[in-house]
Amino acid sequence: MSDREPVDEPRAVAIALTKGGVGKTAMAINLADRLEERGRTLLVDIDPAGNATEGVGHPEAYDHEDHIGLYLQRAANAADGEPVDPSLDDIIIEREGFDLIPSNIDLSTTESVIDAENRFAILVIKQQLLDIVLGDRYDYVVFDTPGDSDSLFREAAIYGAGNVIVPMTPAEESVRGFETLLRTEIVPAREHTDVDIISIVPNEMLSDNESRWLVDELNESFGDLLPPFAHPSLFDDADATDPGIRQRIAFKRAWREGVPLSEYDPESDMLDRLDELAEIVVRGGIDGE
Amino acid sequence: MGSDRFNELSNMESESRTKQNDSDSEDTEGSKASEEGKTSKESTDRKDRKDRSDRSDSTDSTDSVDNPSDTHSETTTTSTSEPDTQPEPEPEMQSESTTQPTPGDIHDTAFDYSEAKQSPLYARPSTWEAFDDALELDVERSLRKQEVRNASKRELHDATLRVAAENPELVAEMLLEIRRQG
Repeated sequence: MSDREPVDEPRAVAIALTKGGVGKTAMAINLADRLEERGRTLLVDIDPAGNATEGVGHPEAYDHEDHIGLYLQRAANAADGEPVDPSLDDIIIEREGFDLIPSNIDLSTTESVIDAENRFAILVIKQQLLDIVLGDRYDYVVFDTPGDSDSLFREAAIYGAGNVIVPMTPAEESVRGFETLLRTEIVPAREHTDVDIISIVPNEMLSDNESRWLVDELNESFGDLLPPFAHPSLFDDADATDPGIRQRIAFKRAWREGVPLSEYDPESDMLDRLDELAEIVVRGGIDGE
Repeated sequence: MGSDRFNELSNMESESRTKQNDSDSEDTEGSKASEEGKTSKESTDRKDRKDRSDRSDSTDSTDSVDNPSDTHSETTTTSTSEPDTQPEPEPEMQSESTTQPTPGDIHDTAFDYSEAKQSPLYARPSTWEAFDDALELDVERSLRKQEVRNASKRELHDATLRVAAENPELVAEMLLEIRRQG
């Protein structure tokens, strides 16, 4: 965290799809990395698998006694003004670059307890985290969410952040995951609060027919949510890289080394696209809010 | 799956967005329930929705980049410039059926041994080792999930070359990566 001036419009965003294996973690890590160039940024790993935590070089935090789940559980039950142990300071890891709230091996357990104990469990991330840090301590907060079909923390992150980026891979399972996310979380949440899908991002793209199919379909049905770097016309532009966030070996290598793509390969052609995605978050949508 | 599916999702998304915007425009005192009141309903809704949702979607909860077991990403750097030679019989041929493959049946081999063409590939021993491990540990495990247990070596090699042929930018990226590493 730095002492930089706050931005005009702080924003939280959840990287979400009700499906694993679509590259949410790599997108969350590298989006947080690019947003840090634009403002003070916090990455919150609320996926109990803890892959983002490991992917930014803090695997040891996964076994810490204090963690975000415990903080949320106790904060939700604390009286106004009552100190919470662990505190937010105890669970935030201040790093060079963006800061991190790591996942934890006991995250699922506390998630179940919070869900069972609190009538207003879905507000826990908004009230106990975002209302406290967003716009004050951080300009941007990025959530890496689990792909499981039933996840209080993902739903609470979507509800609290109010902004969602949906990564989709060129596979039927991705479309089904998007349908589940829309049907069971985003549409019902919109009955009560504002939730915007600020972008649908074709991810782990190749140059095969499935990848063409995905961007064509998305362009036709969700053209206003498709970033310019994912437009199907790029397939026909000999001078341009094909559309979407491409499947790159460097993403996996960077994760293995516990660093963002920008550090692993500063020359990567995907950094410009990740910067474009960061700008979409800054604006609050492809063309702004 | 086709355009209809995406159109349906698009309609669902835009309808709920429109309702959200309508609700915003009526955002006056009393037009919205108190936060806790809303949440009480939402909290109940959450459990109801989960009961209705299709849990079959949750089978895979591992992000691809999240999969540390994927340690075999060193693809082979290949050369096919050597003259073709007759293929050596594959060991598993001895136990294979001599009947013709059934097109479209994933439990039958895709093509017969006589249709295979052998051509040497040159790669470092460590790459071959990683490749063999990937086939044995990861590819065959994926196939077993589909109850396919009779993949022949020629099919595995054929599929490998097709993946490379369909993904030239990945091959180029890997070659550059290897050169950078020296």
